[in-house]
Amino acid sequence: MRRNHMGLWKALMGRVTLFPTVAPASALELYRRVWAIEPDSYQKPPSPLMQGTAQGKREGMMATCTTNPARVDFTFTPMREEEAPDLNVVLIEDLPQLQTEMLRTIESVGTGIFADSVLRVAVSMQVVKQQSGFADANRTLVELLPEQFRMRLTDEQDFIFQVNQPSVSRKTPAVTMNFITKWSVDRIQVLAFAIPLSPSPISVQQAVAAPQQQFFAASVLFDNNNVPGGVLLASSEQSSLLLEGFEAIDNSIKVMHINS
Amino acid sequence: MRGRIADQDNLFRLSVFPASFQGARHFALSKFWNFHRLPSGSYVASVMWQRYAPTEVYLHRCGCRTAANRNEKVQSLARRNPTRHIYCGAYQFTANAIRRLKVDLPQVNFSDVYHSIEDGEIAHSEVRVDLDPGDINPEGTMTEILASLWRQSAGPLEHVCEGDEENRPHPKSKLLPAPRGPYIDSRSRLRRQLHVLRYQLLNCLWLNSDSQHPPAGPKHHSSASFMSTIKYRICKRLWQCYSPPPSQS
Amino acid sequence: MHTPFIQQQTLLVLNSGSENPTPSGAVRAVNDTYSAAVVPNTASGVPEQLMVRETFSSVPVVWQSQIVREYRELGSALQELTELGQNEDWKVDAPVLGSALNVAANLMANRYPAPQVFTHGPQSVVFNWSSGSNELYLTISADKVSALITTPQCIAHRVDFLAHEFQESGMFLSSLRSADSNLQVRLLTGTVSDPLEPVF
Repeated sequence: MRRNHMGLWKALMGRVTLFPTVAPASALELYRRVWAIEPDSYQKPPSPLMQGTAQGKREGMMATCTTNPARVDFTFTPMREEEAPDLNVVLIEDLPQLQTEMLRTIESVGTGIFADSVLRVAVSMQVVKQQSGFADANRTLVELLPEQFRMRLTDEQDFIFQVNQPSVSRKTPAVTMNFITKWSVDRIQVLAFAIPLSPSPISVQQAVAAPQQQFFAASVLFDNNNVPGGVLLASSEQSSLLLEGFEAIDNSIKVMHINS
Repeated sequence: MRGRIADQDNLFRLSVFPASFQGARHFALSKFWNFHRLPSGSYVASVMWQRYAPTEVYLHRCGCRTAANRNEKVQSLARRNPTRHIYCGAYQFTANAIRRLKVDLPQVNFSDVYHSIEDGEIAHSEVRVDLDPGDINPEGTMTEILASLWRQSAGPLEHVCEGDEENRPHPKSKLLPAPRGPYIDSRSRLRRQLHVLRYQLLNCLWLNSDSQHPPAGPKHHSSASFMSTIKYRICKRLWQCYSPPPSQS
Repeated sequence: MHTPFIQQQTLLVLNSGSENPTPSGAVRAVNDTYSAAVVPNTASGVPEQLMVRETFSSVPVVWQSQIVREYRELGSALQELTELGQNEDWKVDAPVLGSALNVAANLMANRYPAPQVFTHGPQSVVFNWSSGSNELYLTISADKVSALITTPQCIAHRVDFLAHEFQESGMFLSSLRSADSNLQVRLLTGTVSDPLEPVF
């Protein structure tokens, strides 16, 4: 059954990030420790400063752990259903499931995986709502903007508005949190490539000739993180700050759904 | 003090590297220094004294020997794929640049350079630096020292040792011009030749004495003991030439 | 001691967000476009969707791909220093590598050009940038970082801090600025626009 994707807010990405002060364990090991399961694939970094990636399917989403010497990301992204042949954009339909998985990840962080070597933590989520064009997307976003920021838009293209409203953490008063929200109109293109079984790069001609479809989406990105204060965060503080950031996102999404 | 390296005497820092470094774009080959930390807390490094490496030819021979000795040592210790070292050239500065460190940098308690023959290399001299025990970041201070010496360096004097020609491109091409520009030998031709003669005489006498009476223990000789040994040998030879034969009873 | 006045402008955009500025999650700028490619899985024959992020930045300062390439090589060079034989003069201790990689990753994230590297002992590595005849050195040991600026005439400025404090890049830059010498250091170069760079 073809789903009607219009008119509903869905998630494009959910992410928990830590900024360690020493080079972290491999993406493979962190994936195992946080999600207690082997990943489906692992790519070790080609050089010590490049990214390592461990990835696997989890509760209908793609769960990815990426590491580089200064940050570790646990990211949830959409996963296409096997029987869907069309070129519709795929999103995370089950928002509560995404939130549950992000909470589980935050809980794992609190068990001391990173010890006390973390300076900064961040939790991020992007939700989108498909639109018919720029004008519709602009209208949707303007209705969502807080009253003090509301502006007049018609069919202007590539709208982006971002604001950070920092405040002292409720749970860790010595720490200031950034609460960043970005409203934007995104263009999403879906391309279908025919890849031969023997490995070969995709040529520009293939990329240009591939069937494609473009979608417009009103997008809201939340990025909540602590301002690094020169003090390392204990494991309990890491999960406490992540939870505080997560709760703020959860509240904002509830408000969005009410107002939509 | 006899044997003391004069302030204006030239010293040369040799650039000897593992062959694998030549492929890495990000190594600043010109600035590598090898300071050893002694148990006493002093930092020491090796340089060559021009007095006993009187021209570029002799200096580069020192460099090639140093690389060859290192390769021999590494080969005897490594089980497989020993790293091969290549001599690329040298940078010049004066003894005064070392001695000024204790004046210019507050974290440096002591800095000097001594003639110290090592492993038969008579031009070898030792830079010694003592830092303030209260220094919160000695590694940062060592960089400050190197930065100061780099600012006062001239060169590079590039060289390719025999046997290294197949390294293409040779890592010497990665040596940067020093801040004070190319090294210019300001000695007159006559002076240079006299210095070469002096070196050859002393070297000959030293090698002669060394082979007949190999030194026990570590192969380090201070300048004072080197000169004393040379003077003793000269006096002994003169005595052998001019002393009357022992009378027969 | 007279400290020279150096007229250079510091360029750094301090980002309060956690968005990953490395190319697999490149800095969002004016015009972000996402493409999702449907690619058959060679193992199972079932199509899988890949998110292809195309980024176009209207005001970048350096080519993102150039920065990544430089830092990839830098990472390999740093690793090589720890993998030298025990008797090698230039071998560096393993904890130093961890600290140096962390600093380098932060520099890369903030689009600093990749430095040159040298050592003077096993307990630190030095990152070095030259701007004309001025030099900037970052001495990174296992737990400390020392920033040093020199000019042809003198050593102009030195600041020491703990390794983990380096992550606060604003602090790093402010530490290079001295109220006395009015010194500012330009660490980003060029004004080249990036072409579209699909990232698989």
